[in-house]
Amino acid sequence: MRRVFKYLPLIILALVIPFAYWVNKTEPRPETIRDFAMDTYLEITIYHQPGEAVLEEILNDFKLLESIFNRYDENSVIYNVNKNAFEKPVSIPSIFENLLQESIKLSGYTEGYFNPAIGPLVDLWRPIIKGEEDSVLPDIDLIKKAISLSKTENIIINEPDGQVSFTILGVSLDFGAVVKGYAVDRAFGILRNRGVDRAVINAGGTIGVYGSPPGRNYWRIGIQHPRKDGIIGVLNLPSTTVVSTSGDYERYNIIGGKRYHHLLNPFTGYPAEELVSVTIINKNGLFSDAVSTAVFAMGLEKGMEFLTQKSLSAIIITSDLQIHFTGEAERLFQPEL
Amino acid sequence: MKRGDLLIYLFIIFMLLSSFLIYFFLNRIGGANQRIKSVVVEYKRQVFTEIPLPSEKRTVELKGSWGVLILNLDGYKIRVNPASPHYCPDKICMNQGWISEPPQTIVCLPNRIIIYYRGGAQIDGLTH
Ligand SMILES: [Zn+2]
Repeated sequence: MRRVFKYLPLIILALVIPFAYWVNKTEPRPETIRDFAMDTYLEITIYHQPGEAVLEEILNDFKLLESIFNRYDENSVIYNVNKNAFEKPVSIPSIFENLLQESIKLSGYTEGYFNPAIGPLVDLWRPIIKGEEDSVLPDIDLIKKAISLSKTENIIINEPDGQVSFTILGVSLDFGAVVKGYAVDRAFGILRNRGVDRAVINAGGTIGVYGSPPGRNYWRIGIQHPRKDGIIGVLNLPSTTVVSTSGDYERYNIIGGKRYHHLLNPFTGYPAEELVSVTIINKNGLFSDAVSTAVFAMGLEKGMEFLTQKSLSAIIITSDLQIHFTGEAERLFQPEL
Repeated sequence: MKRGDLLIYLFIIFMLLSSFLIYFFLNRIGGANQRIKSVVVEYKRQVFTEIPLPSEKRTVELKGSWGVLILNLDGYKIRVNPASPHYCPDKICMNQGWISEPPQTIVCLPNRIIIYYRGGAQIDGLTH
């Protein structure tokens, strides 16, 4: 028996080592949910058990955002605002006021290149981009009229009463460019409240990685090749980040050899030319979405100048498929060979 | 050395060895994720069908509320046949062409159908 005591430390060690491996291996297995909301495909993976309740909470929040911000749904808040806010002030929920305020700030930050009041221009181009039959290119006078309507100055927010109104008839809000990033930010809030360690949120191509990656150094996010199937490269991200891409290959229609896509320049009123893809890497999803949209419209020279001046990380791809980097992006990027 | 000593030594060696074996075995299970296992067709968040991969060159007809969706399989490649007699208003799924590896997916928004690979993911997500 004395012998057993003599070897006790070794015996304990022999028992503890398998236990340590077991603990290491009981790291939560990923749970994934796939569904549709906000007119897009959603995929949420969390490393947390039980995951069901958290996944449902995030999905329900996406559906809540859809019910508020889908401007084509007659029952949505935004539809009601766009229809009535010129005649009389319309009461808005705090979440609407929040996204509107933040979007107007980001519009100023991007010198108007991201524009949440772009609804009139979107409506003008929508039949063309969707490839609807009998759709013709919009008349220049109509475009000029839509540009003048698409100004954030035409929006008045009455903060104490929680109301919004428009100064002229025909103003129309559109958060289509940023609602996915905003949804990712809100999902991060839910993950934080629920004590989830790590997760990946894919809201229709705006990707949020949350926490540290599982058992490796980096999350790996592929960037869609703008002109063929597959990826052009991978971003290696060590921690919580939102990656947002604006590409002319997403929704477009080719007429007379010319590509008409959904990324409109709010100053010219036409689909922005020169760039084919802009990817922004940032901690904040709303910011990533707004800036990728804005830089796409700015074009190469103005876009690079803006990103460099603001010290932002971005990957810009021009129509000749040249890749341009700003900030940390080149260090994080690994080209696909 | 006494017989008891030897037994204790053997016990310790056995425990260490088995712990490593368990570790590598579990790792192998996790590692199996590296390979594409199957293609999953999901409808309204339920697995509608799951087909092991790679597959010989063949077609699979999926009948449902949408009509008939013809899936073409060839090795690891998958597509929705553009001539599928299934009702799809936007036809994005039918015109998408072949996908060949994760995380590529075929998504039919109007019919709420998602076609994706199980296993084999080399990346965590795809930004577009
Ligand atoms: Zn479809």
